[in-house]
Amino acid sequence: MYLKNIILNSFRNLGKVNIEFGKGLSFIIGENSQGKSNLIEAIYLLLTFRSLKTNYYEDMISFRSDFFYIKGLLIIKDKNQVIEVVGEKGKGKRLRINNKIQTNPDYLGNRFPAVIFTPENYNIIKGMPSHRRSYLNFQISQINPQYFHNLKQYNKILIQKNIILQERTKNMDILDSWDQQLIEYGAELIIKRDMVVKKINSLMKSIYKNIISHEEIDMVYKTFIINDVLSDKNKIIDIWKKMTLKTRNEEIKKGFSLYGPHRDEISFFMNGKEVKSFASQGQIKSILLALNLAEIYFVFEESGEYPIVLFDELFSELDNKRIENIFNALPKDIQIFITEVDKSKIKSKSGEWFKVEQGQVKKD
Amino acid sequence: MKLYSDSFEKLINELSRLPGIGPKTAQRLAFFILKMQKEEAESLAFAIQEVKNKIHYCKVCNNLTESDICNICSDQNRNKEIICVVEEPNDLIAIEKTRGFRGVYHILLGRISPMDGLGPEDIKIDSLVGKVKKGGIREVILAINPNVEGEATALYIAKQLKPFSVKITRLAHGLPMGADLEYADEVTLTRAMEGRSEMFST
Ligand SMILES: Nc1ncnc2c1ncn2[C@@H]1O[C@H](COP(=O)(O)OP(=O)(O)OP(=O)(O)O)[C@@H](O)[C@H]1O
Ligand SMILES: [Mg+2]
Ligand SMILES: [Zn+2]
Repeated sequence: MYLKNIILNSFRNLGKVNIEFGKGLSFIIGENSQGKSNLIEAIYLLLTFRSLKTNYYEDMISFRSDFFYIKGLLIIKDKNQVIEVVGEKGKGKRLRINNKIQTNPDYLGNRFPAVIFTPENYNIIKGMPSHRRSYLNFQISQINPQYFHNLKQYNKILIQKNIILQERTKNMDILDSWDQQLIEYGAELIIKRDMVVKKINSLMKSIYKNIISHEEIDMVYKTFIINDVLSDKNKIIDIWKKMTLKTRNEEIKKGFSLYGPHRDEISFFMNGKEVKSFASQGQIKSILLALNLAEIYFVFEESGEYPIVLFDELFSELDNKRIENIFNALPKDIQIFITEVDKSKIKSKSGEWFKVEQGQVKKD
Repeated sequence: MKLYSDSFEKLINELSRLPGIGPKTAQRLAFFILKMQKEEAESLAFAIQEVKNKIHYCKVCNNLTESDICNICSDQNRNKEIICVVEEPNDLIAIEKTRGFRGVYHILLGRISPMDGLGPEDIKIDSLVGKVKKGGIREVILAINPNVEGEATALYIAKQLKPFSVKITRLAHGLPMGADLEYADEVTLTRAMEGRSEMFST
């Protein structure tokens, strides 16, 4: 899969852009605040229909316009796919694929997987637990539409249940009807999360060890049910049901749901110590890039396609040896976009070069 | 400055209270009504008055009717031992169209949804339990929409009915989760009816 052509209009500081990309490496070069990250953001939005930061879509519309437009031509297994994303002030954002408006565009399942590094990724390690949950949800939803559906149902049930807990209605009998569903969908989420974290972790561990450094890296999934039953749905449901009955009064007193995947965590360890609290900047960045590489292979194993890879600010904080090793670990038939300020930092002989200057993008 | 006369403004306001009608559409409809023949407009107004005066809920099943008891409940040929529970009158119409169901209905007039302020007391569950308690009912089919609110409603009703010796069934999963009964096609609905499953296996 690769992005052959992109057309932009009024996306952030980018003006009218129309460029062709090659199948492999593309270097996006430009001085500070010229629009490199904005180009990466546009490609990511085109592929996933998600915005990078928790930004409101209207922030992506150029200050001088009241809409933005992105159109991309993707080649997947020799077939053309035309994707268009439009954002209009006051009207929301819309997605069109091959001229057909998508009525449920949030549904990304298995469409155009992307792997991205931006400085935002530090939140996966340093941010709030909710950052890590949404990271995990995104990784699983990309390759599993059923998971995404279950997640939406779970969240709806949780909201409904919490309203009852807060209102403390006379009729608490009704809680059973919500708990039964919460547990059913929640168990599905837990099983999938456990499985995916284990898969990505085993890829990440060996990638880190082989190409970055000798330290032992681990990503660990933490939920409220003991680890050794997480592949057994009936056991999860059994344990969870018992807990629910035992803690019902406490939940009513506190006014919210105490247990469930909405409070899950993932933690990163280096030689058994929690990364968040002691690792260096360079170590954290190395782990995040090992994670990116693991995601690439994970998407490939699950879907048979390599994702499109976007690296914004890949080179900072890493020594040349690590950069070279990471480059060598990337699969060959894969499209990669890399931004950089300083052209001389890039030793690569292959690839195409693009220059970003004051919102204009040109082939170099 | 005032754009329209009072009476015209009032009509626009009334129309824009209808579901799916924004201010612009309301304006267009108001102009259309203004241009109508006097008899046509009066007939429209009369039709609105008449439904409000004549139509009410069936005393037995909450279906829409012009008499005390609806056509279905007063039909001697319908099997009163089987009650099909639906959320709204629209759902009843969808099932009637399949022509495959010969029992009677109970319409809840809503579903349990805390975020819409609807608890079990706010819909017609008590009267359903009352009917079953009185006896003479063999099966209750829960034909409630397959989304999380519908599921919560079905689970709650099933629990209330459990003490009585009545078979409780739920429409089969021919219906996609999250789909609305009202929009299901007749073939799917017929299959869901035929393949309904018991909620408690005893
Ligand atoms: N909606 C918008 N309309 C116009 N300009 C915007 C909008 N949003 C952001 N910008 C501007 O776009 C410029 C380019 O931002 P971008 O983050 O792409 O720079 P960059 O090339 O990645 O720079 P750096 O090397 O510093 O990371 C910034 O000056 C920013 O203020
Ligand atoms: Mg940048
Ligand atoms: Zn009736």
